[in-house]
Amino acid sequence: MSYTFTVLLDRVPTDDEIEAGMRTPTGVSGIDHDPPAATMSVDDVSSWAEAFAEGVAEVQELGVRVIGFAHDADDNYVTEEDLAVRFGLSQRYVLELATDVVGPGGFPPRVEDDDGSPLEYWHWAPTREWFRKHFGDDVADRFDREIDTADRAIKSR
Amino acid sequence: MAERSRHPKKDVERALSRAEANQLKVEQNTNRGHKWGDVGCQDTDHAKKSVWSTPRNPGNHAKDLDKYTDGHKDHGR
Repeated sequence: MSYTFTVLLDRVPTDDEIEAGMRTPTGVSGIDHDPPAATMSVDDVSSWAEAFAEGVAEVQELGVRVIGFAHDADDNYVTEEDLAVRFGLSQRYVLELATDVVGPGGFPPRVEDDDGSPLEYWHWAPTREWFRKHFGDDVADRFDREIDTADRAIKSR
Repeated sequence: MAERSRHPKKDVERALSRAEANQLKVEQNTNRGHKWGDVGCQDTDHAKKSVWSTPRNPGNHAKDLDKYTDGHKDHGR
């Protein structure tokens, strides 16, 4: 499964730096400008620590420096896979919770497109709070604790 | 603006088509490098979102593009 997270950068890489340094295929899912940040997707690892190390290494090959790790915004989009990895569950179980096959029900609705049709995402905050209510703080805060730990580590360098 | 070709990754192509349906500008680079092109807001003061040619996780790249679309689709309307 993919570990997806956002790192803060000292600056946005230039197009020339991207062409010179980007891997094929790239684990950079997106780059934002304000503030400079990169969202990374890392596969073939078995822990957040491994994912963070790999993601930082890859994005710094673009010539930029990672200066921190960012918490997701409340309205950030998350997939079943994101929720599974963040809460330590299987993707199938998350889908079953989301569709009321198992669990207490009341799972937050998916993000809707303009025509009312559901996209394949949820907003981060409502899903995190649903897990907090039904699985407890320890589960709900797993991802945020990992982010805090990684952020402290990189800022202490 | 020259007509663009389809992105080779279907998840990304879906997101690009959705961006265009929401009046965002999708521009393909003429050179064939890591950067396939950009998605841009109608308000040109806003930074564009880069589109990669070979994302390792096309679904996550599409998610990033969808978030950009939803954050910018009402600009300039």
